[in-house]
Amino acid sequence: MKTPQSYQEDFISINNVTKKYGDYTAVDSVSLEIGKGEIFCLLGGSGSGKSTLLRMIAGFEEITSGDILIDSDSVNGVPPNHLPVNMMFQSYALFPHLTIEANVAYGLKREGTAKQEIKTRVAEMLSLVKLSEFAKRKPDQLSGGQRQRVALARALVKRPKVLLLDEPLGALDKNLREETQFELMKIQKELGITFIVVTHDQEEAMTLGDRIGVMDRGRIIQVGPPRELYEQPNDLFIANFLGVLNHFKGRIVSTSDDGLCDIKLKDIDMHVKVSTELPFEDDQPVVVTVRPEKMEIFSDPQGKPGMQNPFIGVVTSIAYMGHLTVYVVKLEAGIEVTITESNTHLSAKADISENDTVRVEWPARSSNIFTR
Amino acid sequence: MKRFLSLFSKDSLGKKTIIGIPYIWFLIFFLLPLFYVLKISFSESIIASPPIAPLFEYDGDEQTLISTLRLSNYGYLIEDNLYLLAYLSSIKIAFFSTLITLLIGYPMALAITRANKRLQLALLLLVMLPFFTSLLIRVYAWIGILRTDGTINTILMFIGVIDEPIVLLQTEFAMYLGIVYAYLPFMILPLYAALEKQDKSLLEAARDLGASPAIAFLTVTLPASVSGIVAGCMLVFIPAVGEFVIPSLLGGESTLMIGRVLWDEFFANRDWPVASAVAIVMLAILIIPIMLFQNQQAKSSGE
Amino acid sequence: MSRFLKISLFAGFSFLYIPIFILIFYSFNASKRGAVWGGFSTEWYGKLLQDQQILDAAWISFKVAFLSASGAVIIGTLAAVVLVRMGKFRGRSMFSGLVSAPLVMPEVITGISLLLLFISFKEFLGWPQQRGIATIVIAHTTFTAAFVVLVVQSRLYALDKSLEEASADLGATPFETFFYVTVPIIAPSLAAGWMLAFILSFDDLVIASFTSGPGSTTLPMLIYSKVKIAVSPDVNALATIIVVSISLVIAALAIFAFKNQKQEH
Repeated sequence: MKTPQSYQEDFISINNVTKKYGDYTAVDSVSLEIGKGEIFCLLGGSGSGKSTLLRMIAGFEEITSGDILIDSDSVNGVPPNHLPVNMMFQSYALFPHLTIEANVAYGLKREGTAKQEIKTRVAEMLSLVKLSEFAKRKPDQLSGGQRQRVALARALVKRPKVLLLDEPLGALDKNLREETQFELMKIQKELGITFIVVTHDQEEAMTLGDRIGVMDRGRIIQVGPPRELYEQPNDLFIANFLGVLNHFKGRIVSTSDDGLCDIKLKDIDMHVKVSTELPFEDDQPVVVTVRPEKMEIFSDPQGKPGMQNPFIGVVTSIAYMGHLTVYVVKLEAGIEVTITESNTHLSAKADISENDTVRVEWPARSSNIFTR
Repeated sequence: MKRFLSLFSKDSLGKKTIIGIPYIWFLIFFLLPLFYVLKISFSESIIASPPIAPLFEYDGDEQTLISTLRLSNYGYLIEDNLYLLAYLSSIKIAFFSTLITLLIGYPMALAITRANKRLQLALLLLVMLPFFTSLLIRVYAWIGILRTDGTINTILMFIGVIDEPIVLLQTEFAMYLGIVYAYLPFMILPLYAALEKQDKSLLEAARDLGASPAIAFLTVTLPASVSGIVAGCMLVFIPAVGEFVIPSLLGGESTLMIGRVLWDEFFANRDWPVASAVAIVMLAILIIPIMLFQNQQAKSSGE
Repeated sequence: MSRFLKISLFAGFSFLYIPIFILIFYSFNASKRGAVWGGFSTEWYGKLLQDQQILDAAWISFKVAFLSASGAVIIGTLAAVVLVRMGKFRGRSMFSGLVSAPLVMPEVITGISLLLLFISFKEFLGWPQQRGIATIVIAHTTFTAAFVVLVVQSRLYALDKSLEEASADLGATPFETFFYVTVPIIAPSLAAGWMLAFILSFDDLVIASFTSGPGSTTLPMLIYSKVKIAVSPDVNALATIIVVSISLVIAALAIFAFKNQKQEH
């Protein structure tokens, strides 16, 4: 659980930045403020412009129009070797001909730092990332996780104002990722350096980021803390991007005074109820989304419903995934929904099997509603 | 020239220097010399050192510049049948040698790609070694084999197949042999590069979909290796047209090749303007194949 | 591998190698004439070492090849960097044409054109007064640089661009990046390019014949003048030495490269 912090709100200020390659617009009028000491995640698919934006902050790409300020200094036209930012590359880009020590010392040598100081700072960094005993090795003698830490140390040793991380965990095995994520967060809090992380992995963004900016086709769609993005996405694209969803297309039948909408689904005989604070007109076409974990499954179809949306259905498939179980249930109206149940207790719902008739319920406030 | 100067307008000094050094080098020592050949091909041959008359002379009395520009060297090329025949026979010999080299080289390149990785490297090394070994020495080796008291005649007479030594050296056969032998590595290497890139599962997919080995080769392997075929053929054909060492050592009087004609014109007759004209016409013949080759180079280096 | 492919491979390699083996074989032949075997002898090798003309020519060829290869690596590497890393600039397509044309240009044309250039240089600049080692080196640097470009270019394409970006990101100027990161990483291909250029220069007959002057007869020029007259056993011995030493160097380089490659994975 993250605690809210007080940032210097406009430490990095991206003002209406556009990047064009010929006719193609890679980044389209993006404006962002990133605070000091924050971990900010740029989340998006390939071609969303997130990497281009990162490379503009690093000075690798010229800005077509707009301006990026780091601590009130513009990066426009400044070559990468003169910017107070450092980057951790997706491939780590460790120099294969240099030892780990020499890799980490490389940036300090270019600054002309005194020999003795280089030695102490490199040693400090290597101990921070727990690689002191590997100082004399070459990069190809290290594991993937170790290489990632060398790349981190090499970028941090210059004490940059901002560290840019391009898919920092992309090259790691799945089980190594989680461990590394927390390690990364620990180091960041220790040093208080602002991190900007580019990732296509929503889970990674949600774990790492104090805030996330979701990008699509060169534009920022929504910026906010992970919880806000997940629970109250302002866009169907974001809702989809951040996790599996059950979709229901339909039209508003009526809205009560306390904000409870009754929605008739398209083409099938089924109504769902959604509570919303947004004003909707009757007969407006909408999409209702419900996350699989917000739905609950009960083995007793005749039981007394406890939530606003109770339906009867038949289990068509079950996937046991360890920490949770995924059920696909075909509701009586003919529509399929996906439900996940966390396996908190060993026996939880263990009596449900395929082809069983079950009851599926979800509360009206656990769904989102979008106009279409 | 305007285009060249504008090179140096926009970019930083460091970038200009890095582009400028090799650019100027190749302009001065590759392109400019070709213009000199063009220029000399229009001048008159005189007995002097160098044996060329200046293109323009300044007439002190009339105070005018007199042009001595001559087309006569080219006229000479047309008049004397020798040149036309030499060009035609060079193109013919280069063409058929290229074809034979392709027919020998293709199965070899394909065979190398089918070997396991370790063996592939060893086989490639075996192709590279002659590529690196002096052309002169490799052609010279054939003299010892082909001449009347050479290896082949000695063996054949020893077995009793022939009574009299047969003439092998200084024949058209020897020329073909020499060119194919000398240029075979130049054919195999680009073919191998093209074939090796090919995804092996494509061929398996074709076979799986019912293609016979021959059909699979014609519809999958061959089309995918076109870039290698073009590069290999150009690497053989273009230098072969102008080849000097092979016709000089293995060819006879009846198998004229233009490279040798140029050499003799230059060194024996000391007629530099005619030699230049010979070179210019050769270049004009080769310009299309050269551009084909460069296109291929640009494509394969991912531009 | 099908039977047909195996046979073609075997036949092809026989074709490539048998003449060379015959040449080596006869270099140990005691008999002076013909293909008749007159017993084993190393007499011709001993004679080579006493032939001052051959030793002089070999030394000239060595100097020329050494200087040309070094020049070609500088020019060729710069050209490769321009082609791979400089992106688009005006005159780029002409540049890539200039750099790849020497690969296929018939040697007689390259030779005659450079000779005419040097002569007009002499007329207008007063240099070179005499053609010799310097003019051969310039000519060889130009045509071997094109081969260096080929070798270095393919290595640069394979080089992870983010290594150079990382260097810039860590505060290195473009020059520092080139000398501290790019050059050390591509060093093996620079060595290979140098070796290739050296051998091509050492082997060249035609271009050297046009651009050399009195007192600068290279080894191939000498060999050519000898074999034009007759096949002689001492040329067999000389050819054997050249073939064997080049093969050993190439094989050693290949094994070295192969081991390096294995280490990287």
